[in-house]
Amino acid sequence: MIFTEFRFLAFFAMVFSLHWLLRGASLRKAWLLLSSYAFYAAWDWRFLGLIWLSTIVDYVAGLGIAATEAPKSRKRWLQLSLAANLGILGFFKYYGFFLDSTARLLHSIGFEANLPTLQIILPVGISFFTFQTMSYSLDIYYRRLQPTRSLLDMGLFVGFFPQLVAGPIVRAADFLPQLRAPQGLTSIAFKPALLLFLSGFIKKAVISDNIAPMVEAYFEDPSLWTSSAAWIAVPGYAVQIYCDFSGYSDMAIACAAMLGYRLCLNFNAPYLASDIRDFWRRWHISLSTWLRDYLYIPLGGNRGGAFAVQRNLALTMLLGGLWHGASWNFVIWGGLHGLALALQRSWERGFGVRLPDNLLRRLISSAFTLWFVCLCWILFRATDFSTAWEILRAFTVFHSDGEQSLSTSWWIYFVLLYVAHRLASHLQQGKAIEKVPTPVFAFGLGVLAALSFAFMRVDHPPFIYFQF
Amino acid sequence: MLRAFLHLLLFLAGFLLTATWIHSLVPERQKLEWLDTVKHDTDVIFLGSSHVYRQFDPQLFDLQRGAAANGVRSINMGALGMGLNEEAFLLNRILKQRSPKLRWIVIEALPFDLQFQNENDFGKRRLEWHDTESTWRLVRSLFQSELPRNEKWSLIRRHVEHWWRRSINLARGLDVVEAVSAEPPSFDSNPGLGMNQDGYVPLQMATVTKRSRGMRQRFLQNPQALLAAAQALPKLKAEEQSVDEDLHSLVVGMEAQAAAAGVGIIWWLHPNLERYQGWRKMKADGDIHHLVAYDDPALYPAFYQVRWRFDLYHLNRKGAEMMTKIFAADFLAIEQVAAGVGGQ
Repeated sequence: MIFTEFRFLAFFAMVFSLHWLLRGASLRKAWLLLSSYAFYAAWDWRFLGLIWLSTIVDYVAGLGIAATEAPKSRKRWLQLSLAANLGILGFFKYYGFFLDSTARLLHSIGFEANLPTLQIILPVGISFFTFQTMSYSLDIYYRRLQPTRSLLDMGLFVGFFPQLVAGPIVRAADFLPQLRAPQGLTSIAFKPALLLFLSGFIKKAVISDNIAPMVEAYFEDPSLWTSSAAWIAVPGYAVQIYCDFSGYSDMAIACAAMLGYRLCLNFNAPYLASDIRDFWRRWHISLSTWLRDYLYIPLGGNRGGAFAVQRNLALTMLLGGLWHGASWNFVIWGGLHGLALALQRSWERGFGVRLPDNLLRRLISSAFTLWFVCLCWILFRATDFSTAWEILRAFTVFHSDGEQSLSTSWWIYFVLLYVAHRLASHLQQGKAIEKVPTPVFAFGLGVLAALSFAFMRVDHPPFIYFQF
Repeated sequence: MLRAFLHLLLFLAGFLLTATWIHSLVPERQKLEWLDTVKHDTDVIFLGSSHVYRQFDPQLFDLQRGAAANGVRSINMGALGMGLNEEAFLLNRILKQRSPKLRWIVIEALPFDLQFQNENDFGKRRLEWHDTESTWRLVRSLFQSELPRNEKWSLIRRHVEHWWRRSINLARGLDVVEAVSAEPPSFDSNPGLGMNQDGYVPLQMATVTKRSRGMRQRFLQNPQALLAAAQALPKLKAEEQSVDEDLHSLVVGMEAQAAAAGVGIIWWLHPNLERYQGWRKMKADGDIHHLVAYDDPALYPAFYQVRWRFDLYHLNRKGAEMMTKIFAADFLAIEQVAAGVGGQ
């Protein structure tokens, strides 16, 4: 059940209605928890056990950490939480990858290993809910959070359906207080929430899904296409993945808002970033801040010498890449971003060169950042290195033996989307929508909804980030 | 609460108005657009499944009946896999198009089918005929049917989903943009309309789909199956036949609709290898005026001979020519009778 399916709209309408009809916070929370498990069970009920396991382990670990002041004991409880979550993640997501990589490594040095292989299904959302529960235990360990004594609250923090399968990665410090003091129906800003849901729907179902066939055709066999096609398909993928993921996040945030909960912003016009650091402040914000708080800073962060900082950056980004999927492509993708961040830091710190902050510089810097991000997306999207290499050649040195071309009218489309991207970021800041009279808003929303349905794809391709 | 309800109504109004506007721009199947360009001299339309599409040759039919002398022509509006519900929908659309010379619509007599004939869900044609009337008819019939509960509900869900997708123009936006921005389609040399540009595309190995070629090969491997199937057909006893209530009500409605537009329907039974119940009974009861039935091997043995068949279910090109000629003769007889009693 994905957010753009009609059965989800029906499901949400039912959850929303009963949620607000029920009296009492506990009853509402219980209903939401039940709905969340039903939502997840619609994917695969067998993996509900993993969510329960993760919930209970961290609930107990959280209480255990807080119950004692003894550092050793606190550490043991934390280790239990980390072992359980990383164990689940490692087994379901990375077991095959590490096994395969080990076998290749052994083969390259002359050993033939017969390692036990398993056909493991990747439970949807596993990377998201395990990171979420780990942050809970880590926050308690670092004394940034008091554990919840309510298993219901803990269950809802982990399993809340809008963010369960693809984020945003919610922090307990943000979410648990909301569960203790829930909002009432009258305090909800429905207009922004409904518009956010519809804009997310349009991003995913209209823009991303309609670009997908063109991108798929190109990445399937780039050798068939001219190098100019690479300059359409690669930006096309950049649009596709942004609209896919940020569309999902928008819908998740909107659904949560309509149920009275606030989720963190996950995207902030990332393709308008002025440099690569700025990009990571705008792209998948909940993951980048998670990595910053629970990996980069514990590794040492900005403390220590230049080498230590660069090492911390590189490690964080490599692991960030690996978080996306069990493949070397993702690791290298993360590595490239890490390298770019390190270079930027060196440039600023080491050389002390400050270019004039004028429009031209900002434009060049933004354009170069966007080009670099697109370049990295090649590694992210390509199924293997030879395909990635083929596309990189076409995208950087315009070399391709293929003859098929893509319509250049795609560029008109991309430019229009870029303008819309810019306008949308201004609208977000301006909150102009709240000034629109509600009857006009309601009618306009109906018009937009009818147009969206007409321009969406007839099937419902899953969200790209579900595989992570 | 009242205010929220009013806002909901406004949302629905915006939605419905826009959906209706888009719907008016959604292009129809090409054959309906084509009919619009040839309706001024069309007096006979053939409607039905591949049995019609692949077997009724309008040019030959017109030659046989001397249509040229009257400045009229016939056209073939058949399409692969068409069922009775789709025929009813198209009849409605054709009559709305008001062809000034249209006098007869030859419609293949088919069973009233609650099932989906194949798994081609949400195809444009299937969506097109799932209008409110057709869908409601099917849902009502399914409610009253004696199908197993699970199957019944699954079918209801699928039909309603087709109706819903059609109503909200799901994924038809790009078709609308294309239809609005592109040049109107040309029907001068459209391969879908056949060699003579009259809608007839005969079954020939060179032009058929891979599936049809497979059917042909299987037929040639065991041609005796045709004879065996023909012999196994149950005997015809019109007075003993019962008429399915859904079939009866739909057919009577179609007859009335055509009559109101001054058009006659000739129901035509293909040389089938199974008996479609109820048609002879409806003829005997006067519910339908004209029935041309070729599904009796005793009366029409040639239709059941291997040499005239392309596969087990269709006539080949020569067989189709033969059938068209026979039908032209039957048609003239019907026309004479109709003219004698004041015409349709």
